Amino acid sequence: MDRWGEPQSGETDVIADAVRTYPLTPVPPGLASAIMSRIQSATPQARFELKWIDLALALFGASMTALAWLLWQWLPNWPAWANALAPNALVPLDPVDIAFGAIGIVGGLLVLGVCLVIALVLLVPRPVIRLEPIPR
Amino acid sequence: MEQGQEQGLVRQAQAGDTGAFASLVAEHQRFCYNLAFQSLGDTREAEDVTQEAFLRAWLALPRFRHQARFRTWLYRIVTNLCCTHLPRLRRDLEALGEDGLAELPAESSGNPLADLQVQERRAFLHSQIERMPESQRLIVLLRYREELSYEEIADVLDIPLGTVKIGLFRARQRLRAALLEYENGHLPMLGVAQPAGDWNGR
Repeated sequence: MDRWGEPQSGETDVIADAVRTYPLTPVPPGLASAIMSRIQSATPQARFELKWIDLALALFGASMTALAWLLWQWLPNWPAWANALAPNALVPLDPVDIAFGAIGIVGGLLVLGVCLVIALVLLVPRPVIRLEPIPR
Repeated sequence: MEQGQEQGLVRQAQAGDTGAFASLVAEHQRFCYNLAFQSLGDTREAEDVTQEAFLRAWLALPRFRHQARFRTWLYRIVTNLCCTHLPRLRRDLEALGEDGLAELPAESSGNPLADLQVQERRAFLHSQIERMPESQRLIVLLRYREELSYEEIADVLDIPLGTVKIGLFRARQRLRAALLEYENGHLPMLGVAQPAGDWNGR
């Protein structure tokens, strides 16, 4: 045996064997389940919560619907609307220009929508929670 | 469980994988429970402390930096909780190193145990380990059942390295003295208690 009590030869094999084989007390049944139950109850769960991105997307969706309805109403009357508006304008409005303007507005809104969707996917953090059964 | 496999599970658990943490619980619950039981001597309290220790480990896991082995870190949580439950344990652990080695008895170089039955001697020594102070028994368990290094034991129990060495030395001296007495027939063999569980601790 060395100075600090570690076995060095056969004379202390009995003691070394005894301390190495000291029996552990059996774990109470259900201990692991109880532990995991407490852990899962302490883990923050994903909750329903409205954020700015949700409101922005809702506003965008509503405006797109309204725009589609308006365009649907106006498109057949564009020539008449242009003729009615032309005398009051410095430059007579060309139906083609109006069509380009409408396309620009719709395109801009679409680009804005794509940006919002990208922001929704990339910027909104989501908790990583995987609840799996306790291994037996 | 291999070290690499355990590290992988710890990293998964740090990412929020409760399934990986459940595997760590399954692996370490037995020794954690035994640490608590050997410290507190009460199954109910040991169970509570074990649950609390794993819960604290789960909550603190994002801050675990892999500077120590996971089990060393976990055992430290268990022993800290035990010291909270039993303040005397902290004092006993710190007192292990007092007086250094000055009062330790001299080593015996004889081998008086050759003729005893192995099982009988082992049972006797197990009963002697059970009678050790909690502080010595904790060190013995950590060193010989979990094979932690002296440094790891010092870290787990938050005591100086020298105290660990002295505590182990005294524990072994105590067993050696008891065994010599047993060999010399000074102890009644009928009084030897059989510890719970089989010899392999299964």
